[in-house]
Amino acid sequence: MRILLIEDNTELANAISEYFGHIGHPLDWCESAESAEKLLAYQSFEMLILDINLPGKSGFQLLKQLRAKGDEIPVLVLTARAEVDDRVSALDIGADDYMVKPFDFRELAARCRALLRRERGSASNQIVCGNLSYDASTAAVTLHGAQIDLRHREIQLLELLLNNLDHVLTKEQIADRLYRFDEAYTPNAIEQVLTRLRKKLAGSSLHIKTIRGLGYLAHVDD
Amino acid sequence: MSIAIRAAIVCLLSISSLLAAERRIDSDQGFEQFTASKSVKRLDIYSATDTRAIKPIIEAFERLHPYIDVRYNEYESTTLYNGLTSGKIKGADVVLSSAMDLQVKLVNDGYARTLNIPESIDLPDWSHWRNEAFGFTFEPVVIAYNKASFKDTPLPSSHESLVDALRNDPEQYYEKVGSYDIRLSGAGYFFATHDTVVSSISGRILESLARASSHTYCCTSDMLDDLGEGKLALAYNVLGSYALARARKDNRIGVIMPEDYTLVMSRVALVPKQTDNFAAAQTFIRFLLSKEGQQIIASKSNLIALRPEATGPSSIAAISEKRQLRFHPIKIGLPVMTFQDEMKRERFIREWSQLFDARTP
Amino acid sequence: MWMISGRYSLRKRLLSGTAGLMLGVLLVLSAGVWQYANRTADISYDRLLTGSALAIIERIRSRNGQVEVDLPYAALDILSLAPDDKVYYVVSGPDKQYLTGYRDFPSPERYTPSASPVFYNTDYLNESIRAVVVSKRLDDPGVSGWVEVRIGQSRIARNSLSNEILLGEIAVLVLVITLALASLAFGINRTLFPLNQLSRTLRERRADEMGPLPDTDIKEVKPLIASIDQYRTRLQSNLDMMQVFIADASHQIRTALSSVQAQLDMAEMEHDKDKLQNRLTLIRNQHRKLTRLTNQLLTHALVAHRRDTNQFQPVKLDTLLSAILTSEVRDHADSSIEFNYSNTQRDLTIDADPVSLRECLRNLIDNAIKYGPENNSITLGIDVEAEQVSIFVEDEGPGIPDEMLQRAVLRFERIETGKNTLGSGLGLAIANTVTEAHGGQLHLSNRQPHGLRVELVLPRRRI
Repeated sequence: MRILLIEDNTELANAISEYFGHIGHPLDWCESAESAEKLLAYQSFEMLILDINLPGKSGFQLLKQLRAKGDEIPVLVLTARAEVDDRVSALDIGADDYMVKPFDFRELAARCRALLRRERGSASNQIVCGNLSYDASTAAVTLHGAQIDLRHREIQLLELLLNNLDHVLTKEQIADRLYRFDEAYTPNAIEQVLTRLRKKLAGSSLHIKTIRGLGYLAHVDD
Repeated sequence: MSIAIRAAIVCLLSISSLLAAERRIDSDQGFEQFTASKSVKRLDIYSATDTRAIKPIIEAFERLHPYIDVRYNEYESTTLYNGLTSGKIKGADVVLSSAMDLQVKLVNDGYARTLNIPESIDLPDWSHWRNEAFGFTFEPVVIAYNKASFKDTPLPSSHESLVDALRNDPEQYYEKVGSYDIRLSGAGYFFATHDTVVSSISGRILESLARASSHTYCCTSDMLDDLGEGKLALAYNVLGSYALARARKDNRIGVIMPEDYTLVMSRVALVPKQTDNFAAAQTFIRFLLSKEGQQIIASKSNLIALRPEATGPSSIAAISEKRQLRFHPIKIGLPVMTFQDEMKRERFIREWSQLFDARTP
Repeated sequence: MWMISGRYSLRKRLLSGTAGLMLGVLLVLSAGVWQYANRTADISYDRLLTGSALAIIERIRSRNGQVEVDLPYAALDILSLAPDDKVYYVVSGPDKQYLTGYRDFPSPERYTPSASPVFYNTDYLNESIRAVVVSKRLDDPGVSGWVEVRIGQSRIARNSLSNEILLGEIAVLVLVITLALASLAFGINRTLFPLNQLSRTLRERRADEMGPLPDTDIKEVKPLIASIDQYRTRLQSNLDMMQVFIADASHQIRTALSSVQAQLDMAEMEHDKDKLQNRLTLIRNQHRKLTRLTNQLLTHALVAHRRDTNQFQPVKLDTLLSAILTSEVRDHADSSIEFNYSNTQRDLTIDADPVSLRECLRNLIDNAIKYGPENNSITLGIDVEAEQVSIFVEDEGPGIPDEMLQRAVLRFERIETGKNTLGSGLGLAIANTVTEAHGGQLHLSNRQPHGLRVELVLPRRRI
């Protein structure tokens, strides 16, 4: 994967590059929005890690420009600003995720993976979540390389969760997808499917959390 | 105000006054130059004054303003008044008359135009009214006498002494006293009525005159003629200017200015509303009242100048001859109209006639 | 109307207001004076007219069966006291028979003969005329009936007298008003003097000079000085608290920093790989603590700032709370903590500052995670009542000792229970500041059998 880091603090940028190189994802780095524009003009990247507070043109301006051009490249925004508002406005103008400095490098890497996974999942049929992988065309699920047998509804639920990683799904949303409108179901039925799925995926990188009163959230922890 | 602004204003003012002065000179010169080719302004003066008396003034005026052609028309004062009010007399630009009362009535009844007389022309208060009627002569009302008749008899010096003399010395005065026929003469009526205003013995004066079987005349000049010839010993209430002028030429005649009071009237000038040459008319009246005009009256005419500073044989100073006289000028104003009241006039003339018609012929 | 503009000068307002009022008074008075001047002029000159008319009528007699009038010289002489005015008159005998004068001089409308003079206005020979009519009854043999004198005068003297009176009176009025305005201006300056003096006193004071301002004897200025003193006292106590807080925070930060420094120094000397790994873990933990502390301090500064600038807007609580909970769940997805959401009013919208609320609730949830057990159960929810909304965070952690509950809410209060109290205290201090900013109250209570419930009780409408 090719990631472009736009960050003016040399120490931080070096540390991030080093860390990403260490975990096997070397990244490209430039110091300003202007030079990023040049790079983006003739090279393609899979995602951007964008610092907001840059000398010259700000990260916000670059992001706005990209989105105005219709570029949908995933962007993770880094902010050190005291104003927490930045987080909100970053999302408003089209950032896919944000992190506030100081942050944990492991967390940063995880967020990047999550973004890329979403991007790749929609491009191909193969979704890889750490030790778990799922092929949408064959409906095959492997954990630690070994195939796992899942029932029809379990596969449906897994696919739904993988397509909505880090987002809350309500029971109603799940029921709409798992059951046709003429099929009777009980809230318990979904809970039962979920319990079975959890059991079969035990030890995988995919965590499925229940938030009582709100719904379900799947998160990959790789 | 800053000094600069003040300086600028002063500068502007002086420039504008210079310009104004220049323009005036230009227009005057222009006027004179063009009189030959352009129409000459005609000024019609309608007057109840002897042409002879007024001539020097008009000549002086025409010399000063050659572009104004003065036409002088002489009228009898009552005819003039009646003609102006009835509209039978037209075309007057200036009206001059010794009938103060009639002139005042013309003003009161709206026949006159307001004139703009410069402040520099300083006139006595009594001599003008409403900037419409302007007195321009000083006319004492006097007693004239035949010097020969009084060789042995003392001259009466006042109204009082005249009444006593008439009463006490019938031989001296019987049929030898002349006075105006107030039915024929506006001036005579005016003098007689104003005696009643000023004097408490006016009734007695009239009575004594009537008793002395006075002759009555239409005009001062006739009385002066008869005085010269000795037909009369004394003429009462005659126009001072004429009497004094005659006395200067004819040493048989003397003039008394009564000591108790000497009525003074004035010839009055006004410009009628209908004038078609207002500017020239106003110019003429300004000239009449100006120092120059008054000086000509005092030095060259038989009339007496109104302004005391004028010098010459017919100036106030000359006629006073350093005597202390009690001149009683009759103010040009409303009250002189009193005796123009129809009923009052009828009554006065009726009473006068009763006195004078009762004379033995 | 002056109230609309943002800034105004008290002096200008008072002066222009008074000047406007005076102008109004001047107009009203001028109208009055105008009438008065006209009346006075009329009275004066009407007397002349009457005198003249009476002088004439006195001279009307009958003689041989004929009515005669002998116009007295005095009649016109009196009227020439108005030197430039024209005069017209007419005298008529019984049955309106014309005797003398101006035959067509107009009479007043609807006149009944009477001995007392009647005044009227008319026009004659293009002049505007004030006239009087007086009648007299003649009862002589052969002649009997009313005889009448009408006499009128133009208005030059009348108008100039009334103008003279009018101008004189108005000049006096203008003078009086000018004097009044001048003394008002003087008075305003005198009145504003204490304010100017007060501002000079404040300007000349040093920032740290705290004593009360010099007292004043002026009743109206006393409350202002009291308010300023009160404000300064409050400011001082805030400054004092800030000082304590800074002392606290710097102590904590320096301690954490020196601990990191010590571990780094030790790590440098370490040769054993496993021990080095242990040191690094310790350093990482210390550093995390420090990060958290810094974040909380900055967040506290942020919410305090936002409280002072009142950035309220309509907030749909369900959206805000579920977003907060979702991001918390995502961040702690690998833990076994159970998250719950309790909200039955999904459409509820309140007036609030969403940024402050989010920071506050995240801190409370972080506290619950940090100080709670691994299998903690954390609930974020709201209770809605008629007048208020409670946003609460519940956990199944150890709670706070009952005797500390009250003090825990106070800002910058040191809770001396264990080592990590500053973080927790700051979380509560943030919550307290945010609640205060919303005009609400922060409630702390312990749960049974164990656990803490932190409750932001907010009024539903902003006060």
